[in-house]
Amino acid sequence: MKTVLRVLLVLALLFFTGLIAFAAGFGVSQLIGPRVELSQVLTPAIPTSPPTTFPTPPPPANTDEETFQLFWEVWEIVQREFYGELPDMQTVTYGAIRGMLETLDDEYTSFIEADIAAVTREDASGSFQGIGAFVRMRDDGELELVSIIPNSPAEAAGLMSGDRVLQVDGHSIVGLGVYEAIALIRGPAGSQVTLLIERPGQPELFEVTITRARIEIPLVESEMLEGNVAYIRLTEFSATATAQMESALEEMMAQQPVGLILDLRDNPGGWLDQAVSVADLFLGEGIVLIERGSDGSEQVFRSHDGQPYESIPLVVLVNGGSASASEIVAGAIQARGRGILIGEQTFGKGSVQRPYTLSDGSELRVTIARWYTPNDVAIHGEGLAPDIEVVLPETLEPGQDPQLERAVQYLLSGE
Amino acid sequence: MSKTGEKIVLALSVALIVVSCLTGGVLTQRLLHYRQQAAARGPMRIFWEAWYALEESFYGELPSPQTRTYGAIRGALAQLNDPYTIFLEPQPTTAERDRLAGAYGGIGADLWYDDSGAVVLSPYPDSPAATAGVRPGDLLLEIDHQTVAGLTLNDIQTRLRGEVGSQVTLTLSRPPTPPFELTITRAEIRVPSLSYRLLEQNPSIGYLHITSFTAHTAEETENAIAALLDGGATRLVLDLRDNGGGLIQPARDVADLFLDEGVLMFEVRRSSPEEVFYSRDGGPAADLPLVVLVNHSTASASEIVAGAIQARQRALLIGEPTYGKGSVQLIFPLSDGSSLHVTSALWLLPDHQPIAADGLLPDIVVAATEGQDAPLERAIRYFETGE
Repeated sequence: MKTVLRVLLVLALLFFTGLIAFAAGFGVSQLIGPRVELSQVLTPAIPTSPPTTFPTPPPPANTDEETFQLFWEVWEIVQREFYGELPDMQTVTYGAIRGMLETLDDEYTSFIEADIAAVTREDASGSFQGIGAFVRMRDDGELELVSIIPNSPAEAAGLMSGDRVLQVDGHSIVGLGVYEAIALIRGPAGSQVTLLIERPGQPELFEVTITRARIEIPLVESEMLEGNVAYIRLTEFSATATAQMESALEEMMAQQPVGLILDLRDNPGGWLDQAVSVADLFLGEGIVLIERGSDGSEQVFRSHDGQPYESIPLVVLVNGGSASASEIVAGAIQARGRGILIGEQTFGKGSVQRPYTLSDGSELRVTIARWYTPNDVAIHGEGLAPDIEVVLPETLEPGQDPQLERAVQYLLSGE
Repeated sequence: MSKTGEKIVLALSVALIVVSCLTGGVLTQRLLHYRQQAAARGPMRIFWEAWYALEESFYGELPSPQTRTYGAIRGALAQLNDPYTIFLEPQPTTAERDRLAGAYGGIGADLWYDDSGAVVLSPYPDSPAATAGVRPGDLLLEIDHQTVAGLTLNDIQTRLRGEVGSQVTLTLSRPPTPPFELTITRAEIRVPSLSYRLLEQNPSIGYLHITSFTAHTAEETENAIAALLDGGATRLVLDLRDNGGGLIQPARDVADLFLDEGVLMFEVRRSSPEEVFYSRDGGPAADLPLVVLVNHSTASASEIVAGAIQARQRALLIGEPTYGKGSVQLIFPLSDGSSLHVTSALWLLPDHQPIAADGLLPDIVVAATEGQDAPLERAIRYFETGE
């Protein structure tokens, strides 16, 4: 009996001692708690392209964390006091990022949410895996096929421009954002997708099942014009722009044109390396552009001899929609006296962005540099002035294109 | 086993238990600490990725961490879709508090432009301006020998303000006297939140215009009612036009002056039970015939006063539909001197209805007109004809 009591007493003592030790450990740890561990949730951002390597971000300055405490002070009050629905933390985070970017006063440093970033990133690669149709979201919330890419699965399935997609694999997409809808229709090549289609003028809805494929986005349109003038239009500087330009040029050069019109109107730009290599198609040895960072660092991008398109008479068509990479190409051709610009003043985007893919798939594009023409002229906010200005009239007859006509005239008459 | 061996084993076991419990305590605390941090910051992870991407490569000068933090706060608050939940940086906060507290360092005068564009002064009674000799109607030419020509009234007000005890020299014109200078020592000025008079058209009607609800408004209103009654008023026009609100407590106290016992309003909050506010019996103007004037700029606390009076059928509202803002903002001062206005509650009228988004509908709708005060004329006619 006595032994049992003693054992119990010892056990109780041990338990009590353990409890005190636990509490002490807990308390001491709380007091000297590892405050710096905050940094562990911060990971380096992963760059996508250009494929340079970036240093790992410096360990977070504690002052940044301290300054940012105000944000949490605000948010705790809002969580406690706000009368109304609180948005989820992702929405709040996105809002905070956008709010931070607003303070930079630079419209080109921008944040793109994951679903949109996924689509634009795939597009910029020059190809995508899907059915092969261009779409737009109508005001009534229905997704309309604007055009069908030739030889695509969409064409093979008999889809036509004007068709509307109401459901994807049985799920309604009416009212979704256009990028959300596109993300549902796209998928790995070889997989199948079933669309419910409404065709204007046809009372019955119908379903089509389409096998997705990898589809190269056509970026180039070319044709031989009257007077044996070659015409080539580039719509965007995606990753396949140079390759597509080359194959179109090769085909047309076989017909020995007297001149070449490069149409960069409404071309919003794309990758910097594509701008340089497209310019290189037409330019011999020399400077294409100079890139300068705010720390004064300078990088010169050059073109090289040895392309068969370096001497053919050249006109570049530009307008207010010719931006960024388009302006690099047009600016180099103009500055180096390689050809003339016809049309209207260009957009004037003389800055370079680096895309960062953030850990949840969203994307941050950060302005990292300004670029200058081979003559060391900055075009930011100004744009390039055409050598021959041809302003389009307010209303145009279909098929009419005074800027193109002026370019043909210039190449045929030399003025 | 010997007794000594037993003791050693026991001592070792105790030590082992103590150490493992201690370690357990430390680990548990750290785990909880990480969980807490992760819960708070995990979702913000990509914010920090963006933050450091900018630090790494943004072209040009990055705004300070403070500015970026302010931007992030604004951006986060924008997601609430509530125009009244706002973040104010330190500077405007002080001015705002001054305005709501009804006090600042100044000379104590109203100003406006006359037809020729000259700036006219009208000192408050017993203000530094009045004591120094400024008379109603004096024209202001210069402040500290700098002309006021070309300045907005707001700019002029700002220049007249300053620390309590500091001095400002005004150059005034009072034709036919030649321009002269007066030096005035700034003092804390209570901005009167109302004006009142017996109506010229009918001196039995007292007219009381409350322009905003500040800390002193209830007291001022009580005094004004007493003065109007003394002057012979037997009925009152309470003008809440262009009164955008202010503090709720004074607004409730003002409503109480005009109401008998009953429900004044309800306040619904996110995390606490509904609160009911009552008016008490025996308000000094509870039995006087009353009309309330409202317009599109009658908002917030003003709508509570007008809405309670209307819902309790105490008096008619005359004028235009009101603004329609029945939410309450609490103001939280933050650690760096900035402040946060948060929509924290919803006000309900005595009939337990929120103030509609399109405002209170007057019992008699009269639109404002150029040149004459049609709603006031309509109020006078209502008193005189009973309809």
